[in-house]
Amino acid sequence: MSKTSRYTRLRSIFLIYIFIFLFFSLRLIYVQIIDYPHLSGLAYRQHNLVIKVEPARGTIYDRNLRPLAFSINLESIYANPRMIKDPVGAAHLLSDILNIDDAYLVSKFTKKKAFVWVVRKISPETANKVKKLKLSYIGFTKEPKRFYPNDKMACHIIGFAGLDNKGLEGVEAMCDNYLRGKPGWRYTKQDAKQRELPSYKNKSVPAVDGLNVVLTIDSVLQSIAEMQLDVIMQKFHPKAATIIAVDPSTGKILALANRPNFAPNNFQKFEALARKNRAVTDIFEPGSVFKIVTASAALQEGKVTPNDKFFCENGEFKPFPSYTLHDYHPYGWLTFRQVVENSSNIGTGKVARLLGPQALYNYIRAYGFGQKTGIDLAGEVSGIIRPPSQWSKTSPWNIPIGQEVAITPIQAVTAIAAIANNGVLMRPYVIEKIQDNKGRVLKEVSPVVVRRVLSEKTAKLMQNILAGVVESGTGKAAKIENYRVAGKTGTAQKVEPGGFYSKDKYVGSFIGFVPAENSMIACIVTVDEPQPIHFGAVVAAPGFSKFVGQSIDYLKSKNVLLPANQKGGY
Amino acid sequence: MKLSKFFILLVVSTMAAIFYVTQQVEATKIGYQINAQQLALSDTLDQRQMLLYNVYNLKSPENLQESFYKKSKKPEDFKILNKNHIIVLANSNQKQRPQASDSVTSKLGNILGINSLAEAKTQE
Repeated sequence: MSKTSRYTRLRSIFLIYIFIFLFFSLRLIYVQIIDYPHLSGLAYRQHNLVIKVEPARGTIYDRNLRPLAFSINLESIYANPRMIKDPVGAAHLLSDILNIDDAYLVSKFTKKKAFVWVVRKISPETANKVKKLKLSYIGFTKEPKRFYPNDKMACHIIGFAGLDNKGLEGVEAMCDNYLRGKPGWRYTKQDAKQRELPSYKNKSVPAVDGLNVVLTIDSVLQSIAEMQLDVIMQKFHPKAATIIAVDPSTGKILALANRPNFAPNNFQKFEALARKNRAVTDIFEPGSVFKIVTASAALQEGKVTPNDKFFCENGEFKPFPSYTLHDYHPYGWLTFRQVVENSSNIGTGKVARLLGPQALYNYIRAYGFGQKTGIDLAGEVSGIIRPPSQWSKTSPWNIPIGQEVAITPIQAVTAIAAIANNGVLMRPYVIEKIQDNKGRVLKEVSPVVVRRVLSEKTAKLMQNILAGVVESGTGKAAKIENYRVAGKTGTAQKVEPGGFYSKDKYVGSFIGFVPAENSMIACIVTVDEPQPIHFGAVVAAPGFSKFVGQSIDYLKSKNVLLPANQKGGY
Repeated sequence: MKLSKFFILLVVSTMAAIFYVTQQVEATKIGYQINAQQLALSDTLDQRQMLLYNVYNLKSPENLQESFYKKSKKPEDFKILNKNHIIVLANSNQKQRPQASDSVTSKLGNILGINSLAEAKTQE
């Protein structure tokens, strides 16, 4: 090789290197200086990650801290359609495992998006089957799902939370602010496979878990109430039925159950009517149970004494020519006590005449009718009570016997509880306290005295008269072995859409408390359109007897078994 | 600068760079391990919640009642025990013993074993 040719070759190689060097230098300048903002932005977005940390939704407990609703994390599956080359094949692969229609999955997988939900909150078994397929375009994330271990029990109190864990009805909705918690976040980095690198975790704000809500209801009492409602539904096939039990001295709701009901775990499968909390949202004409208001008002105002006599017109009375008041059984002379015991409409009407419309109206309002009780459940209605200025000619005779008025079951049980509580009306409530995961109580609801409706003396007199209703009057079916029961039956005709009373649609009810003195439970049982029998004494009173009898036995045995420091309260 | 010094500097800086990179790699590996452990922990906690749900579900009065109805020939005979049916048995091991006070003399007594002797006499 000549010297010149060698020199030329060396120069060529040098020039190539220089050219390559220049190329890379220019590229470096382009990448590092000219395109720096764009590329650094891309890298930042690819590596850095802000992860939202979801808080755990709080648990709902009954008063004995038995869980009624709590959250479990379940897998949700998402897909990146941009990575799917064969949407039909992918859909076919997953449709059998997930039990989802092929066409639905294909529609999801053909979307021009980087993220689509495939299915949310599935069982661990199903998630594992999908994981075993190791599909690169499928991702998994955990989401909390609300579970209700007691199935349908207390469904109208607890309510339910939706797919996004927001409370939609019942206590879930009322206490959503407490239960929901506060989401946190963490700022971290991820690798090319989108795996988080915790060692690069920079800043984080931890999630604050939701607080727990403790209710006043007792699972066992609630279960007994549900059981009795099932018996009533089987025997009398009513359109609806309700049981509410209250602690008269505090206003705590011990049990509240309605039929029809629903399962909060699958609330979508039930009609809206089944989700209705009839105890607070439905109004009904109370009929004879409303006579407790007339009777107690007359006693309190000193217009009558228990032994005053009233002539009950042998079952038919015309206060004015176009109107006749009937009694179910014809009675002659009855004492005031017997008027209540036998539920005489004519006798009660005459007692109300002595009292006068305005005084009666004042007591109706004092018992809380025509206004919301203030119970901490959504959807409560006020009922319908007209002032005397709007009364018709028949109103002074109809209203004292529970017609021309509309009340809710919760109002009725609150009123009877006032008599049981020696004349003091308490505000009913279901949320007892709010506490954190360590059991520290952050908020405790105390019993609220609304007002004194009756003097203690009158209330005790009423307790005695109402005990007579069960001992020798219309409410004999409500008797409970070993306990003195006080109560009142009611059978009311329903009003048809045209404004006239139906001949075959009734609401049978029983309200009462046990024991008659120093009572532990006040309760209402209402049965809407029972068939074939419609009398409150037949359809509601036996349910009351069974429910309250078993409840009192449970409460007393519980008090025996409790440690000394927990005894005392029922 | 002498060539040897340059080489020493080169070696030291290379070693430092390798050390830094190794450290970063190890940190990343540990990060992955932490991730895996956290995942396992959260999976275990979730499983625990699921098992608890099953326990609560089985213990729920509704479920117990349903099982009872299935097994019982005469479910209407079901009755909740009342106070008179329950006999509370005293546990002999939980017999109340005199409580030693927290005073200094009492604590001293405990150390010297005087209080325990006094208790033994009481039991006689």
